[in-house]
Amino acid sequence: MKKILAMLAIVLFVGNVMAQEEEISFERKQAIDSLALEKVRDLSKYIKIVGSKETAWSEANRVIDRAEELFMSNAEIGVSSVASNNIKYYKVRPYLEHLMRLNYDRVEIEWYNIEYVSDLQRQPDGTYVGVITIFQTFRGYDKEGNLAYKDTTKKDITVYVKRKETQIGGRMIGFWDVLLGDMRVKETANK
Amino acid sequence: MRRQKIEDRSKKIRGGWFSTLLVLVLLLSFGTMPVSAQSIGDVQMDEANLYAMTKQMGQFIRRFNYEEDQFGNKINPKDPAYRNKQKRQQSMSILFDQETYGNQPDLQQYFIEDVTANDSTYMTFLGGRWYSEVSATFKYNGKEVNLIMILGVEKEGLGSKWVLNNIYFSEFNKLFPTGDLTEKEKHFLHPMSHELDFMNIYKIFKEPEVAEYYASRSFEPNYLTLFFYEIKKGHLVFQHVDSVKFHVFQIKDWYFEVSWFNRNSSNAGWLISNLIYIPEKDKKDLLKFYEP
Repeated sequence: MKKILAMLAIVLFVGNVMAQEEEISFERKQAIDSLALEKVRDLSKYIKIVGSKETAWSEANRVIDRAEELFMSNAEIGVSSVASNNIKYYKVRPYLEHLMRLNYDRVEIEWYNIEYVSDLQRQPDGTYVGVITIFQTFRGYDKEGNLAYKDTTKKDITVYVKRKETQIGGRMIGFWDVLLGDMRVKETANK
Repeated sequence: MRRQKIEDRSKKIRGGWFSTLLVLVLLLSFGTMPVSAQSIGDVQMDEANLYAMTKQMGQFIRRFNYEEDQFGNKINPKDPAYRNKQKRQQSMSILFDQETYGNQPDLQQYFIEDVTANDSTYMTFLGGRWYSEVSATFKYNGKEVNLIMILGVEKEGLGSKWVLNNIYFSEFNKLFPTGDLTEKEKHFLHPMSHELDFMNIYKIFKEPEVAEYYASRSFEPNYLTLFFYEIKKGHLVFQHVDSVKFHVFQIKDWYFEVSWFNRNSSNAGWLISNLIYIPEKDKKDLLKFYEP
């Protein structure tokens, strides 16, 4: 259903292609937010699959490929904990591979039902930039089934929105392309 | 008259019934927020807190202006609820660090009254006069040091970007101490020095620690240039960011600082950590640091 909505949002944008739009209407912004949220939800889903100990190695690798496609090629993930502000930087694949290799017998990854979408701001080249904030709780259990580690992280994900155009049946069609950029992962004081 | 009252009252701040009322309002506001039923026991309580948290600086701005409802939904500018004065007044206290301002309810209240009055002011991303203070660790000649970078939003091309405006680094400040005036007056090149082929110019370099006394009265050390110089020379090497906060001068007659509060509470995230009444005319000197 969500996929259909996202597709509908794209279709709604089909029309006359303008070189640069000065102002995006409230309604259109909402549609773009939905597109961006769809990508972030896909990422959440992929993180859950990759993190699960029940996912086969080959399947996890296939999902990491899909997750990488959501991001811009140079995107980085910056991770810090409550104990240390020092940010560790990862590329998307090593970050997910690290998650896949965590040494727990069982892992639970829960996503809070909170998705906060910032306003879009334009950067100098005209590309719109936004940030979507989501929250995740991670629990790792040892062989005896005891909780060995738990954290709740705030994930601030950069979203780049660019108006692009493509030719379909001899007609120029405009659409909004959404890609994820750098992601900041910060542990929240949840104890 | 109202301004005078604010100035007077902001000087004598008292605790009392207002803080109690505020806590009740906060509890009522967030107690009704939707929480999704999840399997983990403590998640529901956490989720209510995460809804209440001011999660982004952009959310701080939207809450400040009342451009989103309490659930974080953006309000259509055509909707009467958008920037609604009454709702803005009711909700603005959630933007204060209540550990500080719960004990200073008067100042908080007068701020809210003032910014939501008929000549109300709103905060905008591109409105200027708001800055980010990034406290970071560098290595300076191999030794770890703390340095503060001041950044501002600058319009460029089709959009905007954050740019470095100034630096605070104690080692740089030590190089240019505020000298004693009588000592300063002893250092000059007399007005006929040119006739002697500036044979006395060596005096400038004899005491490097006061070399700047020989500069024009209008001379101001540019710490940003020094910073770039030291970076380029490899003497200063970036390590990591320690903390970020914001300084907002954009609101008429007020200054406030917004800091990140990482705590498991309904009063968390980006919150006002310092609030000062400053008439516009007095802001000019302060702004020299943020935008030299």
